[in-house]
Amino acid sequence: MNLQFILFVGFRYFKEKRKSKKIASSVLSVTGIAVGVMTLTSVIGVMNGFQLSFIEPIINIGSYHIQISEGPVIDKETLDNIRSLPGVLSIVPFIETQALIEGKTACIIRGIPASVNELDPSFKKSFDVEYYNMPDKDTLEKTDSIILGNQLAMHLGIRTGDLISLTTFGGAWSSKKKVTGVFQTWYYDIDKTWGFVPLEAAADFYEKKSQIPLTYGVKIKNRFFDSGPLRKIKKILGNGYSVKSWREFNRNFFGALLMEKILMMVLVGLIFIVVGFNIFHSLKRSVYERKEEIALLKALGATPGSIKNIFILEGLLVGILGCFLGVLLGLVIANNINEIFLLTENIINNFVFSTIENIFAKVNLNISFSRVSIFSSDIFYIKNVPIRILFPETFMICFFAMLCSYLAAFFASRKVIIIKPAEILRYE
Amino acid sequence: MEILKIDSIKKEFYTGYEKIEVLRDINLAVQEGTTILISGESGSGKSTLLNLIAGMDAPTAGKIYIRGIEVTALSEDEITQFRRETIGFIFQFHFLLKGFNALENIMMPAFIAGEAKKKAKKRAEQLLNDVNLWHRRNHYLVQLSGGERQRIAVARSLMNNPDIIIADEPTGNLDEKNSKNVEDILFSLVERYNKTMLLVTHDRGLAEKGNMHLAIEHGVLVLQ
Repeated sequence: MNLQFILFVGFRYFKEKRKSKKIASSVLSVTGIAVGVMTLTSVIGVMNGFQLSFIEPIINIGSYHIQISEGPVIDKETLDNIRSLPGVLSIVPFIETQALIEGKTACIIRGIPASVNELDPSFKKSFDVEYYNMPDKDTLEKTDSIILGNQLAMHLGIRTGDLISLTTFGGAWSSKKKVTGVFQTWYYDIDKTWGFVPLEAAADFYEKKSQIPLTYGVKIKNRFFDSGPLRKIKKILGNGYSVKSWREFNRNFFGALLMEKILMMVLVGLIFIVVGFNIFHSLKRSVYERKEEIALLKALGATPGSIKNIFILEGLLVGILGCFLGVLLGLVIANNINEIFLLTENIINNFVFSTIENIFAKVNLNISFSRVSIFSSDIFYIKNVPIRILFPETFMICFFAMLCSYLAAFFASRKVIIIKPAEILRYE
Repeated sequence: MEILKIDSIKKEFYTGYEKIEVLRDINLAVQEGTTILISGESGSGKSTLLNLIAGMDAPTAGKIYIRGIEVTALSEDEITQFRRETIGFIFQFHFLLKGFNALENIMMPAFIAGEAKKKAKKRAEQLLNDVNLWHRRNHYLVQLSGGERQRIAVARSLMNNPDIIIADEPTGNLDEKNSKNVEDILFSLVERYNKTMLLVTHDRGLAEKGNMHLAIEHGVLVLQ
């Protein structure tokens, strides 16, 4: 394959098309790809933001990446061995039980070490705490302290500094605790049903030390590469422990989120098929219009394959330009989605509705529209619309856009093969 | 040394159910460095013969050899590569690429052959000088006259230093003055670079310039 020739002629054809009156079809093709990539990038960015605002608290606070349970207490040396495994960031012990607060509201009580933030820095990321009268913010030092989820506290009318009664299910253990902090993870289920106590205090729930269901939560660098650490931890611990990945917890919920995202990508991605047809017809016409030049290039010794590649390059250039513009616009929209919502609300409320109301007012009809709120933290239980652009997904979006461009160009350029120089280059 | 041998070439076309026998029995041997002029009535098969020699069409029967290689037995890709290296074609109409300037049009065969840009440019500039169009090197098709376009086409045919130049009525589309100019340049370059040329022409005045003048009559070559 003669790359120099393909690039030279391909780029020149693309440039020539931009300058000519045939630019409309190219602009349409580039715009189509750009709109598709832009929509997918911003929609998936918002979707990731929402989904990760659920997933991260669940994993950072709740399930950890790997859980070790059902075995005896792990000694310090073994814990150090696990901590030193490649990819392992932290290992934190905890005890979890269900209890009643004030004898009426069921909640999950988890005992964690007072030094949890040092042991597991990612814990803090999903854990906003308002502390009560504790300048050092080390609220879990005292065994009678408890930190409650803000929704749980609000539901019970409890404020920081209040004393509450805590009774484990079955009434095996009961105690008074002082609410030293209220936390918020922005995941409603955790904020509504969870409370944290010091690890030692949680151990008191059980009469016999052997009954304590001590569990270890392990965090790793990349949760998607969990099979290696999982295997190595199992090897270090041997038999007698249950070692499970985050994939096994909340499997249905995470599966549903994934399916939701895939379906959204497929549906929005259908635009690429429409754009692909546009590129196909545009290039097919280009091949027809250039049949004389194609015949000449063949007569000069260019192979049908290399001429085909010129048109494929043209299709790919449309794809590249469309992807570049699409990603750029997608990132701008995604990163300013809250401002865009606000602007849209203002336009609808202060311009559209006001104008309509004023028109009706002139004919003595008092019509009043209730103001639109596209996004409200009161309803959605989030501060603002979260955005998370993930590079691999953006890459995949661009890859599919390019694939559509390539396939469209490939099929459009097939006609190059049947063009016969001897038939076309006649001048009679 | 024999550079081209045409052995019992036959070419038939079909228009619907009707068979048209354009070339019945063409035989020819051409020595290296000679110029063969071919004439004949319109539709006599002159262009068809040139297309067959250049491998742009396949004969119904017969064989064509160039430098001892049976061109008619080569695959499409092989014949394309062979044409690129061995044959320079000049058409009646210039068929220049409109998106490229004069220099780039001349360089195109070298680009197709994968030659380095620097080397190709140097040779193209030399050929531009040869056809007296150096001042037009950056001009595009629309900025060139008919005669200039055809001179660019002449330069392009020599770009890959081919053994054979095939010219299909290269002045047939030009006025008398431009025809003379293009003919003079073509013949002088063929002589300077010692090329073999097959030239289709209706101009009987050119007969003296060639080594042999043939005509196609009723599908066979006859000496004039």
